[in-house]
Amino acid sequence: MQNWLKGLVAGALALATPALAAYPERNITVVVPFAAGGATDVIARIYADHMSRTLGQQLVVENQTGAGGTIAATRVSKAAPDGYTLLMGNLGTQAASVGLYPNLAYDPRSDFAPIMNAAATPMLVAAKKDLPVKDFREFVAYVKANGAKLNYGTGGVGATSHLTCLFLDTLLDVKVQHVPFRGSGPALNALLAGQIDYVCDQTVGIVPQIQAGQVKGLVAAVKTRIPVIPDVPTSEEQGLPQFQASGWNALFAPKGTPPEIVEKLNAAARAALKDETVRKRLLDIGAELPDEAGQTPAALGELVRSEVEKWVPVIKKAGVTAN
Amino acid sequence: MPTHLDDRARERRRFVRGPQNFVAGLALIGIALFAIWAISDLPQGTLRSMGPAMLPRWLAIGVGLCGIALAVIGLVKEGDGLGRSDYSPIAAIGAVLILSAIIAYVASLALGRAELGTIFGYVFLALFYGTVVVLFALSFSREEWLTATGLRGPFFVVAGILAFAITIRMFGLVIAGPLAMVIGGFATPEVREKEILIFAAVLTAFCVGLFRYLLNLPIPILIIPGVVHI
Amino acid sequence: MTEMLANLGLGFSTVWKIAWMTDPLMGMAWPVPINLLLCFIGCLVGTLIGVLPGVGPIATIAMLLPITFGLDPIGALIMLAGIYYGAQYGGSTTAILVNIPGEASSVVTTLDGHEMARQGRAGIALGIAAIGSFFAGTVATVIIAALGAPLTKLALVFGPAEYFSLMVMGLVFAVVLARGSILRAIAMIVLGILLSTVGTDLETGQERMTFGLPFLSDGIDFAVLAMGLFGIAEILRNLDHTETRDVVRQAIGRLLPNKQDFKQSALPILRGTAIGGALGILPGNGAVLGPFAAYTVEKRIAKDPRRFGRGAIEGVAGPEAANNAGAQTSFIPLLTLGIPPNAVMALMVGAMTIHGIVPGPQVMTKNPNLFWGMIASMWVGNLMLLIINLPLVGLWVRLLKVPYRLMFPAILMFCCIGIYSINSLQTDVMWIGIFGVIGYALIKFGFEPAPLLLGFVLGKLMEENLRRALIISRGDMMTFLDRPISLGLLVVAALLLIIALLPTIRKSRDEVFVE
Repeated sequence: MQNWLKGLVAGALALATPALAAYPERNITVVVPFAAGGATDVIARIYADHMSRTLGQQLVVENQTGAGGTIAATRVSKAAPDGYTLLMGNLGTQAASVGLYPNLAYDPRSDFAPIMNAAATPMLVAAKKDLPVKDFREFVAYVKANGAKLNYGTGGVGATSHLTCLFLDTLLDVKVQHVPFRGSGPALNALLAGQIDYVCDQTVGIVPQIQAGQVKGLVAAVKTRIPVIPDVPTSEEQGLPQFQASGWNALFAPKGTPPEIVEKLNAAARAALKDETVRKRLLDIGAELPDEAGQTPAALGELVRSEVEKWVPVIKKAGVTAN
Repeated sequence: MPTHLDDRARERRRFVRGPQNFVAGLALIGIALFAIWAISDLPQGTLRSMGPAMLPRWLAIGVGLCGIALAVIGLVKEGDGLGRSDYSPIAAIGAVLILSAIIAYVASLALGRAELGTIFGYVFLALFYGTVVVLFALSFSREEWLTATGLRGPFFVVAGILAFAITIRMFGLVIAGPLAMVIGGFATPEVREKEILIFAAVLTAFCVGLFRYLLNLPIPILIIPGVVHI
Repeated sequence: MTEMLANLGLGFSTVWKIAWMTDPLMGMAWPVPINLLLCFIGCLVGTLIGVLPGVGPIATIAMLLPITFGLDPIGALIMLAGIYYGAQYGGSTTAILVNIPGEASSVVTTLDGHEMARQGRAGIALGIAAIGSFFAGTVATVIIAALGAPLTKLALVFGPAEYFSLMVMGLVFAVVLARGSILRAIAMIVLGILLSTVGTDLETGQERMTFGLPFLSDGIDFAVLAMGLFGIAEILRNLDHTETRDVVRQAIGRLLPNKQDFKQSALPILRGTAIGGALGILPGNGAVLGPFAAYTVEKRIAKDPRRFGRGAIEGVAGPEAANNAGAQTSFIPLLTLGIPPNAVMALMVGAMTIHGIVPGPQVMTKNPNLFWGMIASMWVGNLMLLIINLPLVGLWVRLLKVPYRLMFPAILMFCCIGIYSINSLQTDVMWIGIFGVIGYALIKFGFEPAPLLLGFVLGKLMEENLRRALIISRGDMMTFLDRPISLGLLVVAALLLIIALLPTIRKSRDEVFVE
């Protein structure tokens, strides 16, 4: 029995030793704080697939949902800073959570080592087919006049789709009734059926509906028009340049991860972003990809800080809290 | 299974004629009161704009009313009884829970720390596994008593599940799986030590192949800190 | 009609697509029916994960997603869809054999299916489930092909008010579902709804009854609750009684249903298909109601309702057909609207987008190959499931012969691994132990877990839609009566409740209870 055990340990050691020389020597876990199939998950899987080949070790995606993704983010913030537990965080877990969760167990600005901004999905405002407005300017006037009668749908309290609508509320100085759904899909269904008046959501689900003429794409909250829906103007063109919002997703390691490891992961992520298939896959889901300057860890750290400063006041002003 | 009403029970006119109904009713009332307490700090709202506590409160009241009705039926109508093996496991686990809560509360006061939940967790695990060890020792000398009280099943099965939960992230499936199976396996007096050990080893190997390699699920297989991490 | 046949022809030619693949050994090119093969693999993997308690299609599809990167989108989606309905199928096997419902839809199957297994009729139950599902799948495929596009409109008619009324009707079904006393059934349903309110309130974001514990903030997971209340509690109950469980493995009986069984099941399968297919189209996961509704209908119209819950074959045939029909028709909102009705379909959307197909109203016209290929593959998949599962019946039944002292530790470990694989949460594993003890206590106090589980599933949908409807109507309760569909559903619910509570029926119920 003892010999057998010794043999097992020796065998396992033999397997492990040659890799000890350099990181990574074993599988890397990428924790996705949301359910499989969503934008963050899809982006994480596209990256993980390519980075696994660059690093020579599998990047295993693990979905851990709960409390708006903060359970997973808390776990990664407290994980060993050895580069084997990473987080695909997003606007929600790394910025809005500061305002939404008074008892948040981590500070996204200081408890993580940023690796790279992976991809962002631009936000759109889309209205139901028979809302009597032609464009976003008319929409603004209509909302200001009839705000009390209107409803907007979101994927839930604190979801990116909710935050964007709150942001719009703040900019227009109105208070429209919020109708939360369990995820963006059901909200979109209600929009198609005309049960709600408009949504402010990521491009992923809405674009095909706009293309099919089922809903009105009013405005894209980005600087340049989105290639798949060239007819939808930007907020700047429609006279509301402050309305900028995108649901970004980025890779993080726990605070204290050695700089060499962060550098190695950043290089692998950059390599993925240079790959044509990866780019095409990401662009196909309507994602915006960071430029060269935006691909450094420092740029991501700066993004987190600026987004916390941008969203926390919006959340505080609306009095929204998630617990 | 509840002991069905027999002649003996009918002869002796007890105060509680249907103990099963009565106890079930009390349990429902307890749950209802607990729920009402748990949501007491949340706004109810009005029918026009419902608050988060409105529906749960009405539901809790509903549960409580059902409980009162059952308890009353238990008092006035002949019904099923409750045997010793029906209540002892639940009472024993409840006792361990309450005892741990008291100890944890006292300890957190004594230590001057606020981590009541963490302390409770450790105290509960210690007490629970302590009980399991005592039961294990008793299984050699007083097997009939164990069977009659029905304590063996629930304690060992839950101990197996908890062992899995605690060790899966720490040591991986190769350790957690057999632990769950072997500890759980002792829940029946028919257990054969050698057989369950071999079976656990074989099945764990099968599960490693199935879950990790065939289905590709991210489950840790074997972790020995600093040595192996699969 | 001709158009439909042409479309189906296109679909089947997609499924039968032959790819020339070079084998690595000899370097020769072989014709491989690649999509058919992928469909088979999907169904096989699906059956496997369905049978394993806890491991759901969501985790598996997510994990297999990267593997499909190298395939063409149609093949990949055919395989992933195969996993989905394979898992639905496999879930029934576990429900029948070891009384663990993997998903809400197989809760009903445990009632009579597991009872049949206890009576040594596991093979018949499995067989009728397989055949009923195949029939339902075939009909549902034809329905999707013929009426998919027009049926989409139905999905848009159902707003929050209609869903609320539908759920109320479903809860009334739960009363009818109960075997014993009505009072106890109602207590369990209400308790189930109460449990469903644990977690973050959808509307205000406030936490309810979570005691500050982060793992409770998203509410209690259905799989955790079901596995505890059914799976673990069943083990605890069996450990009490050496005699009842021995029955399960002593008598094996016939392996497949005979003429008499078919005669009894034919109409229930037809009715189940109709009910399940209709509810599956609704986008708000109306498919979960299908099996419950089918069971209720069968029990209501049966000559001797007392057989239900005691191993009535109709109680397996109807709900299983409804389950599979619903699983199939729930693809309609996804394929025609691009809107996923449940979590698995949401994952399919993810898979489609990864493969560069954006699901939406234009899939049918832009990618007719994909659209009709998927539909044709559903029927092929159902046929494959029948081919995979009928021979397996013998194997499953033989598994029951494993001595219980070995079987229950194995079930225990599979449950632990399965539940851990869903969310990678250790607390989830602990909870199945807690709910196991609670379920055991319920049994001891004479309660049934099935109505509780149904209340739990429907309760969440009910509360959300109630409050959503009231937000949109600005607090006007009349919204539920003003809308004709909502009113109709409420009237049906009221009628059902009155029938269930009528004193005469209650009397017959008491007889059942006493007996």
